[in-house]
Amino acid sequence: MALAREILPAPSPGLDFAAVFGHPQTLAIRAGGLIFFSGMLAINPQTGEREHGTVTSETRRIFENLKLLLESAGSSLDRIVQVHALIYDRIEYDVLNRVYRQYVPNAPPCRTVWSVQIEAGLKVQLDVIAAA
Amino acid sequence: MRLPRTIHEPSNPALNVSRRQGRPHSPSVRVGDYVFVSGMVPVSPETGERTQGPIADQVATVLSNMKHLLESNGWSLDHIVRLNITLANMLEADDMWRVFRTFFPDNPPAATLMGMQLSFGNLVEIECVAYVGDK
Amino acid sequence: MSSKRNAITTADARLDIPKTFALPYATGVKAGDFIFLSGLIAVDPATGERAHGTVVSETRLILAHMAKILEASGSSLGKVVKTTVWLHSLLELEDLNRAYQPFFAAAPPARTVCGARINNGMKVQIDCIALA
Repeated sequence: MALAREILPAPSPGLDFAAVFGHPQTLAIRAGGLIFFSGMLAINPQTGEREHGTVTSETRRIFENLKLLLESAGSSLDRIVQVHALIYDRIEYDVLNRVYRQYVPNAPPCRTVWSVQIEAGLKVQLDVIAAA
Repeated sequence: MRLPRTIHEPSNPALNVSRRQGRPHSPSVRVGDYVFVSGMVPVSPETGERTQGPIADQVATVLSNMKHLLESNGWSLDHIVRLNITLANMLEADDMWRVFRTFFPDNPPAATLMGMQLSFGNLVEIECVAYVGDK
Repeated sequence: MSSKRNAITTADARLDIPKTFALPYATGVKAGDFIFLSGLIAVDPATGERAHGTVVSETRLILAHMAKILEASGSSLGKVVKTTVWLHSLLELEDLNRAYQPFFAAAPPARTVCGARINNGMKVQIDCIALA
């Protein structure tokens, strides 16, 4: 029997990436006991507006969005297994860590920090795989 | 289907960067039969300090340390499915591959190369996914 | 247990990037329920050479190639759960989307796009995880 991929519905209108931004990507897909997320940005989960801010504020919003999504799918932040933490400049690495650790304080997921250009001039993006 | 999620660490505490540096990540996380390994930069197995040096030395150190992490948990480099390799300087790709080849001489895994800014004089960072099941 | 990696390759030697460029990695590996592909860059299907072009031309070549690789292993673009796209410049995100969208018309996979350096002056690199 072939495994299926299941598109997870956006828990709130602002997180429906395809509808809000018209980008060809699905918010999250569940398959094989894992959930694969599109890179999450600081987006208002109700309005879909990008919330440009500091590394701190953007990271908070990203984790809050992931929490909303994961919980609506029957999972949780502590089931995240891998993160690519995209940051606009490695100079704010410590700032990222300070807020990041508040959301995954115990047995955190594995992580690689990528200092890269991020869409729309935002400062942080978290690319996440979680256990369902 | 709720897969178990477990943390896996290197036996050598000097190589446990997550713990030593108090970072909000784990060295590796197993979920079902997949093991995700955090990005690794060159660290001395003797002192736990960052090591500098030319790209070839840095790549060899990282892949040795990755091998140690996997072997500490009963796995090996043979279980690696795909690596993401970051270089501070893409011009060093050939030198990196030369060393990489010595760690994966036959039937190598998949790999993706990308270039970006790295910290502390690190020239390379490598993460991977391994598969430790039977299928 | 001796682990024999289940590497996948392309039947057409001209599209076998690791072989053409003597690089020590596999095009992809099948492991459990998933196939993990290496990041692909654009190559000319006639000659196997790198096909430097625009973000649009490179993206089209990459995704056509990705489709062939997956299909040869019994998978398909429709079974992709996640892609990561590296662009030489995020100023070209719209062009990426324009070229990418037709390949994933219905329920596209999760995706993260970032701007980073790609080897050999290529403008686009795309990897994926797909259901086997």
